Amino acid sequence: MARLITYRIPSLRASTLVEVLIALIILLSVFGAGMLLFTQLVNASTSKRQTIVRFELKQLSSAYLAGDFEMQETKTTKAAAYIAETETLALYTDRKRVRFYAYDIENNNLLDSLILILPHDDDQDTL
Amino acid sequence: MVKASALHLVLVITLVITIVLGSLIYLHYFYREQEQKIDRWDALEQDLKAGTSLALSTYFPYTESGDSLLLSPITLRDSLRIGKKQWGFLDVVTVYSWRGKDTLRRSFLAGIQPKDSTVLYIVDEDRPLSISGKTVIQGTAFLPQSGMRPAFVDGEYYEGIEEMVDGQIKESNQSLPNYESDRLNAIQALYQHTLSENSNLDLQDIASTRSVRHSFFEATKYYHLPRAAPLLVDSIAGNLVILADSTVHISAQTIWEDAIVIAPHIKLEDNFSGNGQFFALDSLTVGKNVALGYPSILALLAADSLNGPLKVTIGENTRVQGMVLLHRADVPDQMDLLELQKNVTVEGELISFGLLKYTDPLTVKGGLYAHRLITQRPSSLYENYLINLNLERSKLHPYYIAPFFWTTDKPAPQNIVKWLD
Repeated sequence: MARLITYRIPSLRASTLVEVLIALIILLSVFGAGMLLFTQLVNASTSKRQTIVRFELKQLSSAYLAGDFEMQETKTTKAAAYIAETETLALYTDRKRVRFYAYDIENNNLLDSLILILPHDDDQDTL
Repeated sequence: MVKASALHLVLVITLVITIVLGSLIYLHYFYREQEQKIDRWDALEQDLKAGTSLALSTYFPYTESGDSLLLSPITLRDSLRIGKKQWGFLDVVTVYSWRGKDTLRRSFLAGIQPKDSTVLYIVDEDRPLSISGKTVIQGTAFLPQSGMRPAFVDGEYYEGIEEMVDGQIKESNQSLPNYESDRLNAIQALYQHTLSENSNLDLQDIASTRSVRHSFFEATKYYHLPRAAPLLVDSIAGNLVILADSTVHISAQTIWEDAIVIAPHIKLEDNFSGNGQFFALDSLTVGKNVALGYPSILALLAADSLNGPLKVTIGENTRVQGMVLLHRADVPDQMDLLELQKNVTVEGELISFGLLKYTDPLTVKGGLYAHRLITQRPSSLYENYLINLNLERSKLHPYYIAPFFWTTDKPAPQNIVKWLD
């Protein structure tokens, strides 16, 4: 008589509800903490606009040094509006302080500024 | 048998996610840190530029004892330190700017931006000047009231433009223009004070060292050379002052950069090359083919108590970029002599508070100032004759910054001569 061979199907033990719940909590907390940290970092880092404004301020100061940008002139770009003002230093009368300001036109607030200390123009000419 | 352990699986997945997330966050943090560092350096650079500009202001005081701490004109914080000291006929400036642990610093030599276009200044001794040969004068010439006229010398007539001077002609006075005597006195005083017994400066002996280099960010080092001996040092560079009791003999092998030497007699050997400031008090001899790079100063500062005539000799084919000076406050009847041999080139100022004896050709790209010119020709000795001279103001380098010497009505703008260290 043929032996009846029975194969035992391997038994899979189901997870208990408690196990699944704990696993879910761990996964969620890891994701949650990660997202929290990430948003904090993103908020703290320089925005694209700030970087652009800083770059444009530098460009403007080089243009001023090259004589391509005048005082009382306003320059507007997509990122901000720029103006420059100058004043003579009290102690060093042959030096002037040139400030470049970047404004947000919509909200009318100051975004960034750049200050240069330069000799007065009449000292620049050579022979 | 596979265990259905969801918790284990989750723990492993969590670990992997945590590692990936952690590295991403670290990456972000790292980039932000770098960006902040660059921003900080940018701000420091701005502060440094502002400090440099302030230090070059005519109204910036000298800081002989320690550096001056300034409120940065940009950030309005105590983050700027500037030192400005006299360095021979130039100024040495050091600027530091810092924020937290980051510090940026720079040092440079400063001088005066020339504003005039004087090419020739001959003191008015009530006698005219004569011009002959292939003489070129380009620039403003200060001539005696009796003027200048073409003349024959050894059968050779003047060959040049009809006006003789390609530029303005002005009348000279009975003495050379005013100069900053304070600086000359300071150099003489430094020599006398340092070698006197009650000096508190730490003098070191140079004979024991082969090579000396000292940064301008540190205090100046003073070396003493007690005997008249050749300076057997391979290289001398930086913030060093060498004071000698008698003769300093500088060999052609010595590498010389920025250092000052003050001695009664100075001799620069043939083929020497370098840049520095050489102040002699009694006599100065420069050999043949010597090349003194920008900025160099060769000066004989004669004390009024010394009986003359004293002598500066500059050998054939020598080239000086900077200033050559023979100075005496009260010019005596027996004038001191600044002698230039054949084919000497000076880019800058050639000043003689006495006689200037030249052998043609002589090239001056800058200004020539003298009480009287003399030249020896086979036929005779010519006084106040300009023979085969090449005096061109426009050939002076457009970025040439002069040493502090002549005084000007309006404070002259200062500028950077050379970056140091």
